[in-house]
Amino acid sequence: MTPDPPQDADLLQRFLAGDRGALGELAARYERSMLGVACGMFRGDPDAARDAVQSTWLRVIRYGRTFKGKSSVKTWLYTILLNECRAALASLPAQLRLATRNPADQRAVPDAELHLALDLLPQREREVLLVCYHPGMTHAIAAEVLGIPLGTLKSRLHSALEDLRAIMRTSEHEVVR
Amino acid sequence: MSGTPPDQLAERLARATAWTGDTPGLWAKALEADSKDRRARTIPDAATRLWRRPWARAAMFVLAGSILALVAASLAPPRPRVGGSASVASPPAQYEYSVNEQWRADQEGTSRAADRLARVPVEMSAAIAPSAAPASPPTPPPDAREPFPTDRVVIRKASIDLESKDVRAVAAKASLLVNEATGEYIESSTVTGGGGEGPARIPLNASLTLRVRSERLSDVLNRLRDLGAVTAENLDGQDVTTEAVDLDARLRNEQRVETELLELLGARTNAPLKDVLELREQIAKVREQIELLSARRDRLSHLASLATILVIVREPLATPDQPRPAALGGHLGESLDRAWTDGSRALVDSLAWLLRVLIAGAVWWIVVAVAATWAYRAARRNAQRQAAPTPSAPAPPPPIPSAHDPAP
Repeated sequence: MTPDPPQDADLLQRFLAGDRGALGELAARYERSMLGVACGMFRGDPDAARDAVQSTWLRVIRYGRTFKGKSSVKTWLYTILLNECRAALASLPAQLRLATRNPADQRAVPDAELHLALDLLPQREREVLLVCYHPGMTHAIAAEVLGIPLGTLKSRLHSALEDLRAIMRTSEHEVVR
Repeated sequence: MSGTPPDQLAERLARATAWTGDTPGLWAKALEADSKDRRARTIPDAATRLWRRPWARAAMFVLAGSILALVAASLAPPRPRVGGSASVASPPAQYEYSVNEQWRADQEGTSRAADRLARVPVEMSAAIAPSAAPASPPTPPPDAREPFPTDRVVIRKASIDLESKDVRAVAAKASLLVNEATGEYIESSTVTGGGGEGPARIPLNASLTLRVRSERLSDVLNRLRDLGAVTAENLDGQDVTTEAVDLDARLRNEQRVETELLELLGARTNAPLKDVLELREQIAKVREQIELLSARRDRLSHLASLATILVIVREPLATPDQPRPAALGGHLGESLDRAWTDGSRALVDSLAWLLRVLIAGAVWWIVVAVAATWAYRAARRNAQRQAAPTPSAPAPPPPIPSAHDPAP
């Protein structure tokens, strides 16, 4: 009989107690999905995603002691990651932020059409879509990560989907014309 | 959605947030970056943490203030003891005459003289151009300078209180100590009291101010001590060497200017009347200044050459009659009165002591108050932390009912 895997909070406590391997174990659970969310936030830019995730780990290492246990470690990690992504996006010059809209640059990015459509959405709607449709994410955790009530999340998700469809419909018509 | 079915859109969104590459192990890189960064910011962090504590800030301010005070005290030049009181047994400390002071005095005088000469009309000053040395470099060759004064100029003052039954005789003997042939004299002599009879008699007092040569001061004081019982004695010495040197230098320079102006006046007999009058006016001013300085210098020399002794002779106080023992009631009243006075004085004394302690240690009280406040807050924080339940701690299990417990 294999023993139960340690809880995230236990891993964090072990890391804070000096066990560096515990952080590796925590990373094995979440680093890949964190990279996915960050990649979506940065319109498919893997380098920017890596930077954001590394910054997130750095924050975990430095401020892990401030984790109060009011939420799960997973929620905490994603919250930090989103904050890092927002800060990085805000610090980018406007030209660089819009550079991915150039179709020529988008050839290397998978599903560039979707990313272009997401780019046209307001930031809070884009975040709701990316977080909620991230594999393995529940609406409850997404609401906690985004810091909004569950009801607000659902209504915002609905309107974001409507807007995204409208944008994609318009772009399809433009392509046909 | 016409072109994109809902399930297809969800799939595309899920793909957009999925990581297809390998996991680069960013946590390890973050650990490495943190350890590098931590090494770089250990000392500044410790300093910042320390600075956040109020007691540490207060201690640093006190330390900085003390260091500043020490530095200021060490940088301040030592002041010579001038005009201070000297004990009878030990003579005043030797005043170290400074070479720099002599130069400063000379140069100040020279610059003042140069100013005067600058006001002389241009035509006339041209005539004495070679001799207008004061306006040019003020330092004469070392061999041309006058030797530094080696004697101190000290004004000595002494006072002595004597007690004697025969006040008049003591006063007369004291006045005989003055040797008028050598310039000494009695500056003032006063005898008061002596009137009345019995208990209403006013005690006789005599007061003499003697001016004796400085070198005879000790001798005269010794003789005065033999004339009666000494009740008080004081000796003061005021060192005026610096002032004397300054006066000498200024006097020399004024005399030099006067000589040059007179030479100028003699050389230019055919100068315009206006210039001659102006020159004479300058000479008069210089002469006036010379007289003033000479008078001050003479007075200083006079004061220094003759010491002043104030002699006060008093009759000894009559011994009061022994009071008769008071009655019991009177004794009680006296005792209560004494107790009241003593108690009030003790209260006032203790209040004064308290005030002294408060004022003298004001700085340290502030430090102690800050430290106590910090300690109190820290203790309270600890107490609150211990009192608050830990959210993550599981609730204690309910007690297992014992077989002996009665059924609820």
